[in-house]
Amino acid sequence: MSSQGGPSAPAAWGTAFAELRAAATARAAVLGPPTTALEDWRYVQLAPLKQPIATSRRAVTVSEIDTHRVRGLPACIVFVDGAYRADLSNLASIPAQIAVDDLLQLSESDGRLLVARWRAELDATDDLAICWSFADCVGGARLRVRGLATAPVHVLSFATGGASAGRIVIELSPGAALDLAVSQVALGRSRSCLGIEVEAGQGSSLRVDELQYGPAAAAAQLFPANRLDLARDAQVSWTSARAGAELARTRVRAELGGVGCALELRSLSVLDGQRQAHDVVRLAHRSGQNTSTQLFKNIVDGSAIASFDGLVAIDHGADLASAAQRNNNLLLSAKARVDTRPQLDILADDVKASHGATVGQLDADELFYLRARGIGAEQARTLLTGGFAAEVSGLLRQPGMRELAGREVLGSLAG
Amino acid sequence: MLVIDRLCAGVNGQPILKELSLTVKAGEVHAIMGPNGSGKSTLSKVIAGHPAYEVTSGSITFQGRDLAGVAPEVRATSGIFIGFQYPVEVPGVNNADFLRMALNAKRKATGQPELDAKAFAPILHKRMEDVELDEVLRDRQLNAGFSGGQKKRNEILQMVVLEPTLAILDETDSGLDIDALRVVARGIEAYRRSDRGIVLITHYQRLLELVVPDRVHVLAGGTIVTSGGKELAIELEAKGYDWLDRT
Repeated sequence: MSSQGGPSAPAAWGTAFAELRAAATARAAVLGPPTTALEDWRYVQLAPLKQPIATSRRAVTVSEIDTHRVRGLPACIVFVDGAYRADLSNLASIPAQIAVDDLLQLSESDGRLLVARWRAELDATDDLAICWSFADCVGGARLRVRGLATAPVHVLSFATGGASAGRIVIELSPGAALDLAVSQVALGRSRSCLGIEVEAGQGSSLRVDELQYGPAAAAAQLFPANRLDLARDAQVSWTSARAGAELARTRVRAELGGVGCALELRSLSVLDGQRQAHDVVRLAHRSGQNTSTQLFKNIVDGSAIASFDGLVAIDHGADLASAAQRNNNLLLSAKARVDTRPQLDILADDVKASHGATVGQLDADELFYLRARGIGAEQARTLLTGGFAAEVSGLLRQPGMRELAGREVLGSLAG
Repeated sequence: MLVIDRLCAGVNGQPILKELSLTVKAGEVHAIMGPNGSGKSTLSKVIAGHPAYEVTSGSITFQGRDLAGVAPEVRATSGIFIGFQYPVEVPGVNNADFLRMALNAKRKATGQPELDAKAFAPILHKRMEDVELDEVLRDRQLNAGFSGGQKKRNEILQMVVLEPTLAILDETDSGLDIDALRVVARGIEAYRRSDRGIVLITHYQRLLELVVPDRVHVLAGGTIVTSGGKELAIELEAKGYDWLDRT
């Protein structure tokens, strides 16, 4: 069996969807190729964007799917080059509390609502990657969660070639809870924009483990654009471990709209060779008495490049909001490069907010301490680098995801 | 066991140790006392092979082997242990995993088979009991969030697990309350053996009441200015170091 089947045809609202895609293509053309003069692309090494992306895609084999399945997570939803593939997914294990729908098969009213929301997002952006994420969008899936999902769900997304984009829309009803594992696997030279949109209803909970890796990661371009909307007392915790790509730029837009909600974002990128990983976070506290915590860590070796561009905005009246933002970077080679720009924009009077960034090498005193106990220099470096990573990778909730992260993301650290 | 002969060493081009000589024989406990800035901690780091410190002349010989150019990890696996004055916190590195790794490095260097986690667990459990270190600290990150006393006990734990031939304990007693000091002293006494050497670097007589040294040395200005028996420590406690300048 292979993925030759392809995505299903859009429903009647497909005309509006096609118009959205055309508008996104036109807008991308108007914006033109990115340059480092643009604030959004300031830290990105743009040379990979000038190289053509082959248009050829290929089937994903069952063997490949099995290789990247995660131990202990039988419920699996598969995407190939942005398209939701029910035929390759294991829907039988999806907990009863979750309804999975093909985006292209949504009802007329749901489809039109979705396109209207996307259109508003497109009209409001000057970000070329957001335009691509709509222009190349071939569909996706919607997960509607009602109640406490009794088992975690694995989203397995493959990029095999060409330019593609897909969307995963997660709607958590009030009080609902879901543990999600997301694997983004590059199997070929490609440019993919998988966007995850989360509507976290009142008192709901979403915990996400995310991995990004793949045998072709060094030749792949990734532009995930995620959107998180948190209602009152909702909790979202998102932990990512990434191996980087030829060019990876992950954008998160988060809105803490409700009182008492809490958002945790943690990310670890482990880069070597000429890989890049750029994180762009736009997080807004729209109401008070809520909490956001961000921890972005990068381990950068070879000639790799990492950047963090994070803005936390606390609106007028969002009193008693609490925001903490941290970006820590470990440089393992003289040619590695890191740029960091943590920012706060506070308009409320009574808030607690902190931000900070560090860029450094392995601590000489820590290294000596380990060596003074008989641990060889190389092993000590590996241990310390793993220790730096563990603050994030150790918080992946699913044991299978931790194992996979150890192999596919942290494996290069072993030497 | 340890022979330091006219050692001159420093850091960043700044000379600190000047013509320092010291001999520690198996079974002996030596105490090194001295005012702040006299070079006590430098001496321990130089013996451990800290790469930032440079030996400009003289020699350190351990069990007949000249340590010049010998890497810190090789010094450690050959039996030298330094108890640090300020044990560093190492986030993300599990305390028990680290200890097992250190022990296995030594076992490997001495031709013994390495221990897996299952075989190591009872050894660690027993040693933690010996030094009265809370079991919850076993799986914490190495020294991270430990109190000052817990860090010092963790150093003693490492010593009793690794069973070195020579232990140099740099102000292991500083910052300890009376109970913790007794625990640390018991750990040192339990380690004391006729085939092992101990060097206690300390400011205070109180540790030496619990671990009675064979020899006491006063380090000042980078060299040993006087040596004596345990009574010298009592005299220093009473008179301070100023009187040494006048002798």
